[in-house]
Amino acid sequence: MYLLGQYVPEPPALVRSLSEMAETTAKEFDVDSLRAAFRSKQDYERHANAVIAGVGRLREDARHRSLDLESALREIKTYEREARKAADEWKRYAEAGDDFIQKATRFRMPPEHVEFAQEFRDGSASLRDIQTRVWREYLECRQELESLRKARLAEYLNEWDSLLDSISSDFRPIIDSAWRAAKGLRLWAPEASLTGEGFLMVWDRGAHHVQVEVYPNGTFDWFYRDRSEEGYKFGEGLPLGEFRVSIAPLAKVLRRG
Amino acid sequence: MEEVIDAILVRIPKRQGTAPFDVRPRVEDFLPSTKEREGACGDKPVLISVFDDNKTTFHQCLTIRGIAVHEGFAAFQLEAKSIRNIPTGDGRKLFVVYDPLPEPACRLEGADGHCGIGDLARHPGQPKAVVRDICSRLVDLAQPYGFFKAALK
Repeated sequence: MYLLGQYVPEPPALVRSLSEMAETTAKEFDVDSLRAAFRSKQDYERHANAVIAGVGRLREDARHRSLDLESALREIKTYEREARKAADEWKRYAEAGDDFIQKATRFRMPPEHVEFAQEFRDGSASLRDIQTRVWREYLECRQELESLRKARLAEYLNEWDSLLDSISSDFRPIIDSAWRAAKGLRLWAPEASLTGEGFLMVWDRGAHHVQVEVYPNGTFDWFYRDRSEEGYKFGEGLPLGEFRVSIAPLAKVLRRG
Repeated sequence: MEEVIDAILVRIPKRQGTAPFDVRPRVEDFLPSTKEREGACGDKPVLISVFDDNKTTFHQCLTIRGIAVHEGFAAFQLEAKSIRNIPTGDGRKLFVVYDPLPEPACRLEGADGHCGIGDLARHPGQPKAVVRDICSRLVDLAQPYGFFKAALK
């Protein structure tokens, strides 16, 4: 995580393993690790405070447009997901502790069992609260970044029209036709450039990367890569009439992000 | 040509397109320019121009590229070792080599740090998608200039 690693520290090891445990079906309590975590509550507090400070700096950079918003959004979604899973796991442990206290009391178990259950419940609840703060910080940051991205794309649409005006009159109708089709698929104004052969448009969102190049002879190429998978897909030398059919599935994954 | 195995490389593209986010690297930043494509002849591959951060300072890069400091420009850093993992579609991977500049640029200070990332040629029988894939992966690796130095602090 290149970009976010510049702003926030790595989560404590137990938080990472909790978010992994949340994905498995065999959920075993490692009592010794959990007890060590309860005793290190101040380390988790320190980490949470460092995250809050770091995320604050990242949001400031985003507002001043000195941040790669797409990369930041891609990375922050992962951090947010892991933080949420860890918070949910602590919540589950706290509830399990509560459940055990009730049973220990009802069945008159030895006092040391009840004390253990209370330590377990209180420790888990405390770490749940700390981890929830971390999760909410990432969540609110992600929401702000998405809002900034939306605002910037709306501004850019005006600049985009000026770019098109600077292109030669022969090629312009073909580019206009491709852009109209892209707008019809609810795509936003893309990164664009003249390549010497054609007009290249690039859309990038989350794991999804799409390039479309249109040519003066009325044909186009498309290229799609999902960063989370190996390989890529493409079509080349297609007539412009097939633009909508070829690009519609790509537009769908881009919009989902 | 001497290979560069482990260095931080600086790429200062000449942009003519547009994009919503200036800070973000673009595909056009890594597409070989006309000059870079014409530079390939005979056995020489298509190389895109970069500088070894250890041998060429940032200001020297700008001087060699003919860019005045007050002009708007984009600059990115990439790690050579990561670049060398990018496949080129024919079972091979990208490479980075020291690429001597022609006269008179080769006499400028820092010129010995000039390198090229290759091979960005589209070989006979290969689709354009091969180069598009390479450029998209270089976009993923590129960080705004100064990023690695800040991250190491």
